Amino acid sequence: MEAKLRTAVTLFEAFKKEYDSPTCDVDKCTAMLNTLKLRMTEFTSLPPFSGPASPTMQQELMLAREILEHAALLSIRMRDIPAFERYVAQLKVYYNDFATALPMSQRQYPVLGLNLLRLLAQNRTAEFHTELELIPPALHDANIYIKYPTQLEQYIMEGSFNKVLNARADGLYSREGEYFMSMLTETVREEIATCSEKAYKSMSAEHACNMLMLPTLPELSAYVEQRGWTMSNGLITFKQSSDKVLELPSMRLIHETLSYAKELERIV
Amino acid sequence: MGATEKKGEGKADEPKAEDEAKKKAEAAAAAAAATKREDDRLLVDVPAQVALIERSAATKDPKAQNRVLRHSSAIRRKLTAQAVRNAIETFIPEGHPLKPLLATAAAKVPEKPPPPAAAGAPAAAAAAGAEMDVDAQAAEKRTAVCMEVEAYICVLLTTLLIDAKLLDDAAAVSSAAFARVQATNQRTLDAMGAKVYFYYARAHELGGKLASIRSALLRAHRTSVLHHNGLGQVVLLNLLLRNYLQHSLYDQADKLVAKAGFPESAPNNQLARYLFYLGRIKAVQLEYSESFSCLLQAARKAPQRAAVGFRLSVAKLTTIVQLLMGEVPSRSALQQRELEKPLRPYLQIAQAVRIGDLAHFKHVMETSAALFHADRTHTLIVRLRQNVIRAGLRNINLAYTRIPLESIWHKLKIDRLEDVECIVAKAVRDGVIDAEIDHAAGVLISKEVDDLYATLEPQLAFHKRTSFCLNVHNDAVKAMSFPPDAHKGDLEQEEAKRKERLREEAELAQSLAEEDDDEF
Repeated sequence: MEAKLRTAVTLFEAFKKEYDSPTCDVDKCTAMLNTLKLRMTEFTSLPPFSGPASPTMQQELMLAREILEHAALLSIRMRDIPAFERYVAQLKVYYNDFATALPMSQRQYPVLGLNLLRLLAQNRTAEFHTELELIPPALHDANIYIKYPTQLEQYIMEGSFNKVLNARADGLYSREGEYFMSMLTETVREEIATCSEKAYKSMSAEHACNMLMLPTLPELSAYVEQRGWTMSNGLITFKQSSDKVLELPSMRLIHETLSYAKELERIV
Repeated sequence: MGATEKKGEGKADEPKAEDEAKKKAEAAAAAAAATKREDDRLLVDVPAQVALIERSAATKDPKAQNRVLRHSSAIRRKLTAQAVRNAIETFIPEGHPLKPLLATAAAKVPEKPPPPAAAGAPAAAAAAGAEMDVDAQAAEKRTAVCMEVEAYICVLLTTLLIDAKLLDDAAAVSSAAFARVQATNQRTLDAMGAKVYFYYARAHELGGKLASIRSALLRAHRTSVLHHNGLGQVVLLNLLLRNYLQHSLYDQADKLVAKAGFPESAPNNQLARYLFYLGRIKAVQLEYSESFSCLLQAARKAPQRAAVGFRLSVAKLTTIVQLLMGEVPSRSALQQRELEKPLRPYLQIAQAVRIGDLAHFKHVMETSAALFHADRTHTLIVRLRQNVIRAGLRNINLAYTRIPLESIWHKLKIDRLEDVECIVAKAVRDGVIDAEIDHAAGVLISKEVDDLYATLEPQLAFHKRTSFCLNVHNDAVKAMSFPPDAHKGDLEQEEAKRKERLREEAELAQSLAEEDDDEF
């Protein structure tokens, strides 16, 4: 067991070196990661384990946790979101169930923060809050990695979309967060577009560029086309939801009335 | 003293010898001060309860057992270590696997400190107890104990240990009892087993070992489903949910609720608990209206006088969820008799949201932050910020037909002017206000309010209420219970009536046919 662990550690050291180097070769990293994962399967004390704990349990768990953390970060670099989701799910076992057995990982909150950012970017608000509940409330304001996504969520909910954009400029996550932030910008743009449709009759192209965070006019016109708006003379007109004629939902009414009749029949 | 003796004699099924023992015990204790009498009666009380349980187990009639369980909280208040020790000695036979564990655990519990007036009492009581043990063993010599009684004694001991803060022992005893109950498949054990499950979880929760029993509870839940043990099922389901929610594992809790059904026959108290947990889960997942209806039902199903703590938790959560839905809770809900004082911070929050005063809201949040953290409502209250802004926006929208965005910025005290436009736009999209923004002029123009009665809204409300009434009626019909054989007596009568009716109908038909014939 000792020997296996040692080979895994040396392999991981090599992986980390490659991963941290500025000229990181993603394919090489992936190949190394795959062998590492194979090595991990030989560890006996990883969850779900049964039977007595081996003497090297703690080291095995720590190493596995670190490998998974790196794997999660790497999967963001490769823009493989499902893989990221899987690694985070695996990591949560280490963060929650082994919280007392292992020393705290310094990457725990960055990874969890990235996960929160991902949920936000994918507009999965319910899951976002479910995940947030798992993090001690004291850290919501204190830990910068957690505070960042929580703040963003509040901005989005109240509609301060500009602040979201500015927060992006702050750039807490240098490399990994960037991808999610651009995803988030997309999501926010969609939000703004649907809001504008409802709140404005028309809008100047200049202002629209500003609001939708689109840098140039051609990009704007492409977007306008995509949403089915019309643009003429530098003025965007949103497709008006023409005043709907009040229509009687006859089928529903018939259905309801029949059900009342049936119920009353049963009572009388 | 007379009352207790009468009680002992009144029990015809108890052996004479035990009565003798009691009399001796009481005679010895009579020397003690009057306050001691209460405890002495308990020396009698536990065997009486045990007798009830035994009878119920033998006749398979759950009523007597339920009576014992109903009294359990009253007994818990008066329970003494001596009473439990005596019960263990008397009712658990020698060589029983649990006996050594129970005896050592019970021995650790200190007697409650006697009031100073009765300084000599403990010695007398102990002497009485010892004397009684000897007599009881000689007289009864229980060679076997039924599972129900064993479970009951374990529950008593666990509560005693919890009250004495001996949490590790409580956990050990309850775990042993849990394993014993699990190994037995007996329907008469259901009610008592549920109690054992509950105290098992309670002892571990107080000892901070909640996470470690999760899989045991899940296993027990599965078993009780397979055994059609409805009561055990609901109790275990609630324990599991509580377990998950204590650790904020909302995801797991939600999945459990989705997979595990809730039996319809559950008692109201358990149902109320379940609905409360459900309301919590839904609130976290932003499904506010579902959460609200769950919480409302929980409040209605909960006991109306007792269970103040539970009602308080429900009221707190309900207030927040209602605010999150954009409704303002009624003042009377926040000023119920016993709950008014602890609910005051929540009242302040509700007021801040109603007026739409962001500064006041922030102030309340800061001053009561510790309380909200303790209530675990803080994360929900943080979400209220946007509702505060929107409430303010709605007020403005109602008051003005046309207002510059800059004035809105001033009125609502939003951080930056650029944000105002987006915030307003989002409020329009979400249907909070019905208005339009003119960017060039920088104003918000309110649209005229439509006549509500020209829409389908009243019809929808009518349908909602009608279906509610019909549901109430149907539930009431379903809930009616009838004595099992009551209809049999009427059966013959009914049969006779039916024949009579048939005959009449036949006659009528015949006469009609004849009339028809006559016409042609």
